[in-house]
Amino acid sequence: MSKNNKLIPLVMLFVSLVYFSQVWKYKIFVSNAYTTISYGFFPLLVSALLVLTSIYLFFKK
Amino acid sequence: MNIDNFLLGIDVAFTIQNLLYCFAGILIGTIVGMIPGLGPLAAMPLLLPFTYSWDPISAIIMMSGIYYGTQYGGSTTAILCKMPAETSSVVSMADGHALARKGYANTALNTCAIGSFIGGCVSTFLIVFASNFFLSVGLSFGPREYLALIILGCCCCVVMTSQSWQRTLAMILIGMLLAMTGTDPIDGKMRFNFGSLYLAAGLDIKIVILALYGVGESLRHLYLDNTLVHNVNMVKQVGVWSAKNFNKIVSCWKSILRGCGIGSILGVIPGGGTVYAAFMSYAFEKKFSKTPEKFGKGAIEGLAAAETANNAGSQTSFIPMLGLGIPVNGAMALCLALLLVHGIEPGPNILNKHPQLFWGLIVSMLIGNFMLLAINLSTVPLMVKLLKVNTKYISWIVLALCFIIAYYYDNRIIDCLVLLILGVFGFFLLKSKYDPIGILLGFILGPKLEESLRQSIHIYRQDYLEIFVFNYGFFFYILAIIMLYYFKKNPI
Repeated sequence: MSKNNKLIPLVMLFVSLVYFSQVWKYKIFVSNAYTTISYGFFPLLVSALLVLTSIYLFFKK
Repeated sequence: MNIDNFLLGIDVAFTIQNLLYCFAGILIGTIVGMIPGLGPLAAMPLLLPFTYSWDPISAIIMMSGIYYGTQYGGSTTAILCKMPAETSSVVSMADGHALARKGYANTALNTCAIGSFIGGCVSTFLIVFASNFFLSVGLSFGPREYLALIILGCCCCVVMTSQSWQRTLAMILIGMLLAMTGTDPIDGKMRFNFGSLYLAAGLDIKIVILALYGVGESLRHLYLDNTLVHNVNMVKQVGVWSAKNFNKIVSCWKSILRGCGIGSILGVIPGGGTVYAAFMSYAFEKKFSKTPEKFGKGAIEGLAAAETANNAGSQTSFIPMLGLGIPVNGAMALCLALLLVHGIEPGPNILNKHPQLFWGLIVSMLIGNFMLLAINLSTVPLMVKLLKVNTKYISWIVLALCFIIAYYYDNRIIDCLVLLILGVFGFFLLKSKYDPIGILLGFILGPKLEESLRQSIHIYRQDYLEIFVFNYGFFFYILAIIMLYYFKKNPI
């Protein structure tokens, strides 16, 4: 795999890790009669998925 | 079809202002479509910022005009120079250029113009009939149905790009993360602003579009040193219009009709759109032709079918964008972004909430097809001279314009900085063959996905069967699974 194809997953991994490190500051779950998730849940899900996808793309031959 | 609605459309489209915007759109589209290396995705993002202060109906009329105008223009370069300006024009190139070499360039160009005109008109009427369906289901849509629709939209994006699904998924997720910067859509809490007041308002979709398509594409052109040699295969004589030519075009009316049918159906399928339509229609004609050996050597039936299907597909691709809010290609994603910037949310309710926009656009498409026919039949030999323009100079102009436009929005230099960072990122994406359309789609659909999910959980009090199974949305999930399964087996 060329350097260029490694660069993009690396940048994506960096961006996702920056977001992932921030997400713990926010409330992720709540427990009441109406809902279970809060405003931190969706960012956690998306950034975690992006971390996994970029690691996959980085190591993919 | 309700005649009152159509009259409303005529009322909207036949204003001096909208007629001018329609004409400007198709003229720009035809010119841009003729220049190799450019296309709707190069012209539309650049013109998008100018439309923000316009009336949304005029803006979408012009943008759609650019889109279907490029489909007409692309075939001209393919026929005369053997250089497809658009991917969908590749099909027209072999037969069109062979005809041109034999001295029938005029016949080939006019076949394209007439075939495209018929394809455009027939598919516009199909949009009108499809609207009845959206009108009937529109009012029954709630957050859980929208949630399913957005997930279907993301799946469409995964299958519509030519790269691997992991790459597209990564692009969508990046777009969603970028869209999360700023304020949370439900609670109004601040997220990911990193202490910056600029980021507190969130990233501007206008800057994101300009960066990915304007700056990114221009940098790619400059990097590739895209100095195309246009004149190598240029046909010197376009030829003259005669009754014999006319008879040739009339003789392929069956191919034109078949092209209409195939193009209209395939235009709504994500990913392929016009490219799919043109290839399939051509393959169909060749398969059932009595003289398949002529195909590729100047068969006018193949040219007529491909060009008709190409244009029919470009117009029916508006059906999923307007009716469901799902863009099937990059140009539709830009039209979707344009409507969102104007505060109009495409989807099943568009006919109830914005009938003027919908019907105005439909009638303008019909008018636009007539205008394109007139332009193509009369001015093609003149426009061919534009092919001598070097795309390298155009890229520099586009690059400079992007920064001027970004600054012009709010007179802030930081917008230019964000444009530069995202633009360079867009350039590396394009260079590494990543399709940035996923970022745009994730940016548009991400906040809606979160909003619909959280609203659904709140309204149905965590009853997940009610949210995901017992509603219309369930069919969208099934459709998404079928589509992913089918396209995994038969990649585009």
